[in-house]
Amino acid sequence: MNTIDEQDQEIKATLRRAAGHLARRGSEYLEHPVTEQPFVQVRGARGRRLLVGTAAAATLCVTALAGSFIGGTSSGKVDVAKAAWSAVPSAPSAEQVKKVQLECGLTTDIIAQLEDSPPASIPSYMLEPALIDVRGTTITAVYFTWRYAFACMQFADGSVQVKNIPMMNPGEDAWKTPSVVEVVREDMTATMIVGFLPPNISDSNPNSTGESDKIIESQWEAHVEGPGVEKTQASINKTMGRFVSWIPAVGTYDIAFTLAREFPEQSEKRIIRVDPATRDKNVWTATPVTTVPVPPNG
Amino acid sequence: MDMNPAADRPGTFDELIDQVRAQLLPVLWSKWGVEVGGDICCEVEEYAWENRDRLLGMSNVLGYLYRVSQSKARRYTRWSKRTTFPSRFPDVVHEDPQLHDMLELLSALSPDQRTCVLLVHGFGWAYNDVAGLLGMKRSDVNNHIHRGMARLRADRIDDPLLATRTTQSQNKENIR
Repeated sequence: MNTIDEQDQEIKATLRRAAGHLARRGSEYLEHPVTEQPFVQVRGARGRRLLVGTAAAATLCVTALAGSFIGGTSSGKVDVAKAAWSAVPSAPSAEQVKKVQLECGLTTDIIAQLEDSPPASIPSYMLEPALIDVRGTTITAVYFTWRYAFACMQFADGSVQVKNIPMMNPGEDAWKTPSVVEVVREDMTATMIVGFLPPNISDSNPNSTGESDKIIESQWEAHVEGPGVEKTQASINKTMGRFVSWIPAVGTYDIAFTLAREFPEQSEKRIIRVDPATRDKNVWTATPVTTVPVPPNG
Repeated sequence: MDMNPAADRPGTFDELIDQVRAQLLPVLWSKWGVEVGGDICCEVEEYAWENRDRLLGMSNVLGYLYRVSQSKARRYTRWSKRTTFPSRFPDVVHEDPQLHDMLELLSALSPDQRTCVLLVHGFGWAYNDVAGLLGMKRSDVNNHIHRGMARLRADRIDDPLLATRTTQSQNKENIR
């Protein structure tokens, strides 16, 4: 890549931030709700031109997402698709976290507008991503406010897509109703699931006083399963008891929560199902189909 | 951003307003800045309400409303002669210096160059969509973007700090 290409990439990335800045400030000025930041769609001839000067990973990602890669078919596109998505999330680097935070540009004012609260009342922890989900070349940062999850996906081509996702109130049964939204780009449609893990209070030892038995951090794991989709591990915040996952397809999926314990017979598995047929505008409601304890191997 | 006028022709006034806010407003922000662009948008919406029956039958209603917005913009520049896209951005100067510098460079572009560059590279519009809404030929949009980007590159190199960085990058290329 020559110097002009490098310069152009840097200029275009800054132009995207400038557009986001204008949109945010403009919405604030007109007191319109700030729902989504603008994002760049790579498509058609312009998309192909854009790709010419970009890194190989980005090229692979964008061209492959248009193809079929669900279920790991044996086409040559599978390896390419892996650049954009993976079933198992990888650990984010400090640089990735910083970069996605900067690109998301979530501010106290945006949260205040979203929550209809004064900016001074917004706690600082809401400006920190509670979940960072890195799958292939796609990084997702999820922030939680009182009523919303603010999910910010950054793709390999540098474009960012933001979703405000209404969340259930935290509670014993909140895990049964995750929020599921479609992420639509010109080159792919994905399903993003954000939700709560089941309650993390254990009563495994009846002789204990109860104090020592309380699990501070959730021990639940979450996976997304469905026909034609590789079993997808969710990213989890054990302290907050929440998870996020996304799949590059839309359909009916089961979310399986598993709790492994010392004795396999005490292990639990709970399953809920999300179905696009039950969608309400942009947010789907989940239908619990199985909540009975079963051994993880069963 | 798909702005095929035939496919996206609004059926109701509410749909028209949604399109104005989603598609025309970014144009007005890019051309006139957040405040004047927002004010003009409000005037356009008022005009749209008064002429809703006529507008809903048009094939390229957003293109027409863009021309209306240009008429409405005249009074913001006629007497005071001020530049409506601001050239100072104190709210981001410490928060994001790179963004601040870019906004300043954009303010130095001609309104058409700035609009085309921001719509295509900032908001992700296709050239044809920009041309359709602004009532230009596609080649005009291409020229505006080409000249705008060339000026952004040149102005960035004029900055001594950026020039050093560019030279360093060039040296690395030469070494390779």
